[in-house]
Amino acid sequence: MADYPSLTVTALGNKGSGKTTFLIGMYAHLSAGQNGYFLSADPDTDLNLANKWDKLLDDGVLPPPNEADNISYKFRFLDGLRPLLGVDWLDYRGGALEEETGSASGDVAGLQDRLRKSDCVYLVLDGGYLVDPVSNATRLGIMRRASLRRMTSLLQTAVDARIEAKTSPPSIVILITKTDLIPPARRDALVPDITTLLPVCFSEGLTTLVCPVMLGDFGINPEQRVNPRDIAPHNLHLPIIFGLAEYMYQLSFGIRQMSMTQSQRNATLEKNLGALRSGAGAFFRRGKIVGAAQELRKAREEQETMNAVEKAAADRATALFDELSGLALFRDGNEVNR
Amino acid sequence: MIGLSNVGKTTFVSTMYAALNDGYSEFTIRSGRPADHIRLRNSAEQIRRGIFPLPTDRRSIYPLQLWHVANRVFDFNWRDYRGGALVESSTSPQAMQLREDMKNADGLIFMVDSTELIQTQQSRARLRPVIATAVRLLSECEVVIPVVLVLTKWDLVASREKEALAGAHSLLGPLIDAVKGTQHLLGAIIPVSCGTRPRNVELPALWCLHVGIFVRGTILAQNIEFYKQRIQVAQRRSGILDNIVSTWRGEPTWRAIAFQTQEKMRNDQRQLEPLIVPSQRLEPLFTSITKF
Repeated sequence: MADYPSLTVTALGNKGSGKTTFLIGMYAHLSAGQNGYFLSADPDTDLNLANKWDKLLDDGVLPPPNEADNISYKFRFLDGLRPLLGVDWLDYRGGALEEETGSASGDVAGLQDRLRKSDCVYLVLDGGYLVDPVSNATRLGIMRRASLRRMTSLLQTAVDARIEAKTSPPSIVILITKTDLIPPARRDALVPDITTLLPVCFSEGLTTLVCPVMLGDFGINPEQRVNPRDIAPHNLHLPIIFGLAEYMYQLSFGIRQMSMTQSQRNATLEKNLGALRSGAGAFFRRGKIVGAAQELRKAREEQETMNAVEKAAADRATALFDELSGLALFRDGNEVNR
Repeated sequence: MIGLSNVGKTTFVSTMYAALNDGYSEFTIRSGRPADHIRLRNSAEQIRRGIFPLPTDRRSIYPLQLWHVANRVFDFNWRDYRGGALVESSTSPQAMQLREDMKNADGLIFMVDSTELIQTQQSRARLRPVIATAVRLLSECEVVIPVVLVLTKWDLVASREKEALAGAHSLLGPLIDAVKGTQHLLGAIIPVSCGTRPRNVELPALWCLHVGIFVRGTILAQNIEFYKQRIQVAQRRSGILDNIVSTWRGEPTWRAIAFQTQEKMRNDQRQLEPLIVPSQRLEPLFTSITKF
């Protein structure tokens, strides 16, 4: 049994948005190591993903979109050789978002259930929609073609369900794929367009990373086969780093809350012990005093452990967030990075 | 020994065997099977003439012995695989066998083709299966083991050595750093050449044996220390009264326990003694290689 926690990630995007290609590129990149971090999978998953990446590198064949099934992958995210986190990744069948299957469909019900369990949701947006600035005239068309309205609705339902269940909402990555299609001058100025297209991601209580990624520079109208020499992956490892950073941030925050409650409990225990020890009758309360002292010692030890875990998680979160410098990160709708 | 097809595993094992069979410093390696000895030596002879062996089409296990001067120090099994097994799914019996063997190995030698170190996007992809396998295995390993990165065909990159070293640093750096971050994995990176002018071919095996001797020696030394303490306790508790009480209860007397423990201690001391000098002699052989 693994003694590390697991992060549940779900990637949503319409057909051809680049979810599967991103996953393959990210795995190929991180499984060979990036800034001291590795992504590891069982040998068969490794081969399956790597074969597709090799085909791209050797023959320039872009991976086919996942049209058949929702595919689940299990990874381990390692710091050096130390497993930090399990990653349960669902590559959601792209076509499903565009089909009018209705809420009775198992596909949609399954997805809603999955989103409720997700710690991190990727909304995958094809960079081709962002070649020109989004205007009032183009906004609705992009939202329809990229299934953004549907994604927004699913995300909102999942966030509401998690808030109702008193769990923190999922962190969100707005993954802009095929960034090479966007003119270089615009690549650092995509945030206003994204806030227009996906305003829900910038609401109170949500943490959102806007992350443009690309596999390489394949020109304006890439075909299914590209020139392998144009492959130059960019930012592929950062979304998963963000998921982990946010997980650690939430963990440290949660433990800090627990530690504060524990402090109050310790103060009460100290007060009780002081009361038992004071006065002439203390001699006759020796049994109670010993019991109260033991309880206080145990409570103090628990708090020390909490403080140590909280510090480790906070330090880890800081180190991981540092990797994201240069990307737009929003907490409660306010930009906090860059 | 883990590596992809054509990395030079079979060539390396023959050249390594012949070189160590001839002797290196005060050490020699002998084969436990005469047929292996003849085959490996013949193959090495051919390689010296520039005729390289065909890739392995199956798993080969060589039972070998390390000798220091006239003492047989250490027996070990050297396993060679068909390179393709590393990139086959669990439907392949050889792939399954390789995965099982890798998990149980006492030392891991990862073979990397030096010509792949000259940086391109493809180099990274070609080395990736070896790195991913290493990371998966080593992240699950909790015991002290040697890990060797053997850079094969170093003679082919001799004219671009700086570039190859930079490539090794860039492509293998994350793995090297990850191993460095542990206490229990003892790594070394060794460029080797086979062919007509072999270079460093003895060192990967000797590094593994060096660590193996260290591990065995440490375990034996710990056992001996434990036995010493147990003997002291047993001697304190033994006496006429214990003889009567223990006999009455049908238990071994403390005197008998002390005697049995002394036997065990002597046995471990006998095993430890022949390791001490070879361990001291092996140490200086690795001054020129990068350890991590």
